[in-house]
Amino acid sequence: MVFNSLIFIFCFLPISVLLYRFLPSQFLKNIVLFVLSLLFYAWNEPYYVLLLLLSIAWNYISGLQLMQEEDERQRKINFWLSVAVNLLILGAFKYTNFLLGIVGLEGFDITLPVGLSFFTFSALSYLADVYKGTSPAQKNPLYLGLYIAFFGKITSGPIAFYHDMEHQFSYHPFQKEMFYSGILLFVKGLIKKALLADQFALVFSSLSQNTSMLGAWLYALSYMLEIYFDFSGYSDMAIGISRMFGFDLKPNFDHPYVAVSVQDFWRRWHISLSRWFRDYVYIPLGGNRHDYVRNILIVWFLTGLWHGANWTFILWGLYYGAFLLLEKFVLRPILEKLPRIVGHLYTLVVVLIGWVFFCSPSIMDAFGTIGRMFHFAELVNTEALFVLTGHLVLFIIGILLSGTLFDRIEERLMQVKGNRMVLAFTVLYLVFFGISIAFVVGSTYQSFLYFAF
Amino acid sequence: MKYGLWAAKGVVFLLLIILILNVFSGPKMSKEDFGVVLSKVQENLDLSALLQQDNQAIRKNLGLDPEAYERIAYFKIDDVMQANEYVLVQFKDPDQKNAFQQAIESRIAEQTNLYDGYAPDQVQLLKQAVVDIQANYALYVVDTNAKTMDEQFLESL
Repeated sequence: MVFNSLIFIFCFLPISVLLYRFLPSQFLKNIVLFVLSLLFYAWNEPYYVLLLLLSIAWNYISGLQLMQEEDERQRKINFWLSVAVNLLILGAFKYTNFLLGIVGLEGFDITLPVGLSFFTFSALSYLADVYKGTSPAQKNPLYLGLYIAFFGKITSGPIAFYHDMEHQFSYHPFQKEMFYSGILLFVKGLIKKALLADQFALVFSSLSQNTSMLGAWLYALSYMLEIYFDFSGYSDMAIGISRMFGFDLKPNFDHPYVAVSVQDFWRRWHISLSRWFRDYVYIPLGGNRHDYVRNILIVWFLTGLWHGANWTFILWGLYYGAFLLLEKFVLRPILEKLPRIVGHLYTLVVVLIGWVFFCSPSIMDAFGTIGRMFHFAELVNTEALFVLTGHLVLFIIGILLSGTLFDRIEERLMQVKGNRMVLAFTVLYLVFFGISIAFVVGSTYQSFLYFAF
Repeated sequence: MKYGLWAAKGVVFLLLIILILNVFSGPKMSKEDFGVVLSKVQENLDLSALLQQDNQAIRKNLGLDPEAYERIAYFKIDDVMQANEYVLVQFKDPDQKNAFQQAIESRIAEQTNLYDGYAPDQVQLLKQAVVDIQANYALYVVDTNAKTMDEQFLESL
């Protein structure tokens, strides 16, 4: 089941909210939420619910072992063994065919369990927190089950850290303010997905064969905007759903396309994943205290690999690692002296080219597209011009909404006009919600891009 | 307690291994080139009336995102009174199979509704449509040659 389907919006979510709202005890609320999460997960691929349950069981027992073991050496062995099995599951499903392909063997007919990378990283966060002593082991399997499997975040995150959520499971009552802010965030996310991401997906698709320079730039730009509105829209919906059920998840995006450096971009894009790698890989490796270059390259190799079993993702990760090193050792002092707009433009170009690697089926295709972006012999053709003129308004709206302009206007109007604007914005969001539903009903079904990871 | 946890962990691990092995016991993916498979599907058949369609037609008629697949080719007859068409697709990931199958089933249902009542021969053709989904390739055909094309498709993989 996906958040932008009619069955989820008009059936699964309202029923879940009503049950959560009116069940008498927190224990019953948690039981029902866990069962609903399993149902949500089983909707398309029931078999993998077993995998999810076994993963929860494995990590629950591992946590208890880590808590009970007093011998530090044995504790370390237990921890790494527990981590290894999580990585074995992830590796078996996600990377087997990639590795077989490298050595020229035929791959297996494996369906990747939805959200595997996300729930495995949640489980690893739990194990690491218990091992480091940041959090005690969870004695209630239901709480750990909810942490790993809660339907609001299992398919594409955000990857909530265990220590951020551990106190929320025992007490997350229905709170009106949180509930309404959750609905608002969910609607904003749906609007981003249905009215923007899915429309940019159509533009992206129509330009895939275009040979002109303008066509190549529009192709990359449409993907850049599609993936932002798709994933940040999904994240808004996920955080909104979590709030409806009393869980407080941290933001996953902070207007990444206004960043003034690559480092700044990664503080704003998929924040939960960056934090995860920083806290559980980069810092334990030594951070910037020693072997900085090695640590950065390892982290960004793994970040690329996490996104998918393809050389394009690995190259994409290393590409960012290289730019972060370049900024650290060369560019930062130069960018600091220049106007902010220079850093902003530099970041946008780096990110735009990065997305070309990300969206291309192979490295050759990626370089083909980048080549066309600088192919001055064919600046423009009829098809590219047609797409540009036909979608100019969409591009302008997309660019404006990906920045902070709309948020600033909304904030300012709320400050100046007060409660009158609450009503106006409620009506506005209701209208756009209605339009989004019409698009969901009428348009081709588009899954979320990050479901693939 | 300590040994109890190890025993429980052993059972969970064993179940995990059984689950993973069960998933891996399915058919393997074909490494045959898309172009070769397409040529074999069309071999010795007169399919000249069916013309290759562009990406927009794939989106519009089939409800599929061509960019999502490794390769996809869609051929359709240039006559609104006839339902003949075929699609060959190579998946990027086997987990695309369900979405593909759903899209094709919707397409067949839509086409059947469209021709129902005034073109019973086309409805019959749609009833005999072939939808053959393998590990990383799938074929959908609405044509009198559907069975032959499917046989050639399976041979080519």
